[in-house]
Amino acid sequence: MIDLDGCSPEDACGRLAIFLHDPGSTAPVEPFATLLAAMIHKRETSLWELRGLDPGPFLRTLPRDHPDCMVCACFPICQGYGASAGSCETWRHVLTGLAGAARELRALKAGPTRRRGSRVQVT
Amino acid sequence: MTTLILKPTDGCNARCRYCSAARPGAARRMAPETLRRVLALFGDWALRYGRKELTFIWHGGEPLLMAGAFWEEVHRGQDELLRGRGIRVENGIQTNATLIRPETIPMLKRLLGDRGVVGTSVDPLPGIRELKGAPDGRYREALDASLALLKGEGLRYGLLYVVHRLALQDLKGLYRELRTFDAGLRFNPLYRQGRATEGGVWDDLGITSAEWGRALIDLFEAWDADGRPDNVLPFAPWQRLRDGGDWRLSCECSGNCATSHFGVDPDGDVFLCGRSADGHAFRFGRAAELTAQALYEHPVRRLVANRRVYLKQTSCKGCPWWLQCHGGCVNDGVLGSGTPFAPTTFCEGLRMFFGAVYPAVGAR
Repeated sequence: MIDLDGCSPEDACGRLAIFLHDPGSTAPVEPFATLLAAMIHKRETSLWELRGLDPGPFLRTLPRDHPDCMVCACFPICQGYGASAGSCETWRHVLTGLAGAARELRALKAGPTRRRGSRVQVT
Repeated sequence: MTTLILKPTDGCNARCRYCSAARPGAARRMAPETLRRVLALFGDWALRYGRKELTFIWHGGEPLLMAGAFWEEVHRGQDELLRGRGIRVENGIQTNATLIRPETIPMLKRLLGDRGVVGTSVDPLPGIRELKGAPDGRYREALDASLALLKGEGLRYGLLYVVHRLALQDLKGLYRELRTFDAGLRFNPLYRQGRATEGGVWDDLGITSAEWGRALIDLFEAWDADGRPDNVLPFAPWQRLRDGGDWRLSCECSGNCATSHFGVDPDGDVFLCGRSADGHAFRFGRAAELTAQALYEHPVRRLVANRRVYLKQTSCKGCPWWLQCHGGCVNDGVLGSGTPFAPTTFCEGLRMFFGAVYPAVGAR
């Protein structure tokens, strides 16, 4: 499990790139693997859930305290966690990158072709 | 599929007491070039995000105030900019129906095709829905004549009834009377919007959330005694959900209106839906200045989509009726508390209704 809250956006993107594209990386890297699987299968999850935290108290004042969160494309999974942990930009980069990969993988799964060189195989 | 509620005019020949769309001095008409820009924009949308399907609901104001030349532009534009690009198009119209004459029928038949429906509102109580410059009662005479004409011509129509305070005394009787029209039927609560915000109107006609809940229970019992017909809303979609997991709920309960609906006003301004166009809320911008991608990535769409996630984790957390409601209509959220991120003004009534009757919905 990588502690992304302590990573810069560049560092987090570098680690995500290794997870997504490095054929030598075989073990599931968390939280990337869980988040990617949820996105591919359009399963509901959140960063709070991954951390085992209750977002309730923070969420109640989120629209007032962090209005940008309410129009953010990452909100369905982030749900304000990045704002609470001070790691919003890092998580936006990671979740955007994972969402792009999930779209690609869903498209691959729907079509007959497989992307060569990708670590992730769609079956 | 995307539904486009397109308002070619905000002018109207009626003077309904509670009209949610009424704006003082409204008389705008959509220009042909605006229409073409709207069609082109949503053609792009349908190709990229809308599964190549578009349903138009021609709305208003009163859409039949638009001249025949406008409807010719509609046919030409839809053929060139939509059907010509492989997009399946359906049309419906929401009209007060008082302007339907024998000479209107060919245009309606061409517009609606085999599947389209004429939607109209009805209120048997005098003084509620009336025509401008005419004594009370003329609206109903014109409506009855139009519905007879539509029926004779084989055109399908559906009725909308807005539940207000004066109707609460005998809703079951009202249900039975409306069912004599032999048409699809939908019941909505009166919204505190447009003319209904005027003090005297709301004092006379406004209903509380709890009154809406009790009204739904009364209407449900009438619907149940009627054999639960499949063309009565809002009950039939909830029944279908219970019976077989059919997720095609009404827009206010579906939770996906951020992608499924848009509203467009006579100036070509794009809104979240028809109601938000009436209230000038949740505006995306002018069609001429938008692209399909800009619509998809627009903060308004994100806000409404995120609202569902937010409510599920906060106000609606643990609500046993979440799947039936998904937090309700965002417009009602704003009307109730001034913010989309709070329960709607009708939440209490819906909970009362679902709690009272939902265990019975599945048991025929």
